[in-house]
Amino acid sequence: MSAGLEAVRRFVQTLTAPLRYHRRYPCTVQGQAADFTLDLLPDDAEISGAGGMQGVKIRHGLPGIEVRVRVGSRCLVGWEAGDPRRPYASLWEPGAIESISFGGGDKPIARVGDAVTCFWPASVPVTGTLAGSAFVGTMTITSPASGIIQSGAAKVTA
Amino acid sequence: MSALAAIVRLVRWATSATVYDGLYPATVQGVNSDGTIDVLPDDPEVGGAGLTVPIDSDPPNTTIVPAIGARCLLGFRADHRPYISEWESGGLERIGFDGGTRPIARLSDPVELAMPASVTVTGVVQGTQTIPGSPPVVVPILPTPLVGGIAVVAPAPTAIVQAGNPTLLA
Repeated sequence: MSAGLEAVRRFVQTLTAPLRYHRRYPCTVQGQAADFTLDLLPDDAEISGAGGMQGVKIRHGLPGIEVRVRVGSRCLVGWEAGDPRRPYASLWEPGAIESISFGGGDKPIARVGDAVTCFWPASVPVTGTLAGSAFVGTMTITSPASGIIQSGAAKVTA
Repeated sequence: MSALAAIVRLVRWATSATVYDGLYPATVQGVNSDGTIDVLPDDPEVGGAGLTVPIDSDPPNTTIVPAIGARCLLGFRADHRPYISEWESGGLERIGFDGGTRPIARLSDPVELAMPASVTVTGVVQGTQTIPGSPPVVVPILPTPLVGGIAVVAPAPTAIVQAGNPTLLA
């Protein structure tokens, strides 16, 4: 390659360098803050810099989701509008999840087979015969009964 | 025009279509009955006064109803038609999976029990009976056959869910 052509190639590469921020790069989670932002170490040293990336927010395929991930999880980092000042993480490899919260909820989702505890009214009417003689009364059942969930959405499992 | 300026203009012209390669922050301004949403990109050069965009779900078969004000990214397909991708936390009105419309139960949610009007009871009564008095008198109850029913009247029995998947919270 001639020196002149090489100079043009380098010049064009310099002009188009910002296009790298339209791509996504694999990286590893090094930590997660209370506000769910991540410390990331991109595989590509040119993207990573000396100390990786701090305070990177997560974007999801669904709105209203908050995710806790494990240190060492793998994901992709991209940039909003190709702006290197606005990175975000998304698209996770399997095994990354610590917890997912929908709509800010904090209660575990119940599934078929999960336990249910049943509580009786304070006083339950009783009628019948005792040794052949009719009786009417009330009884108190102090022990709650137990049960399990019998059905659910077959295509939504947890 | 210098040669350098000419090259700059040439490169910018040649790469102008890459504006459609970016993903641009936007705010949901309206949710339409046909499943599309109205979004306003932060960058006015991207979407002008706003765009009406269909929501492509990830994961598949997910019905998403975002809240007004939800934040997302706006992208463009190869034919330059817009689409919505990654969302920020918050901004959820409703999510449905696989066309389902019933809310998912969670740990500690109440359960309505369907009990028969009367529960048949049979057995043998035995043990002791305490007769009030001063002092109370405890007398044995000889084994006595019992046949009867428990009438289930208001308030009906109630129940709560006792367990769930701690990884999935709602």
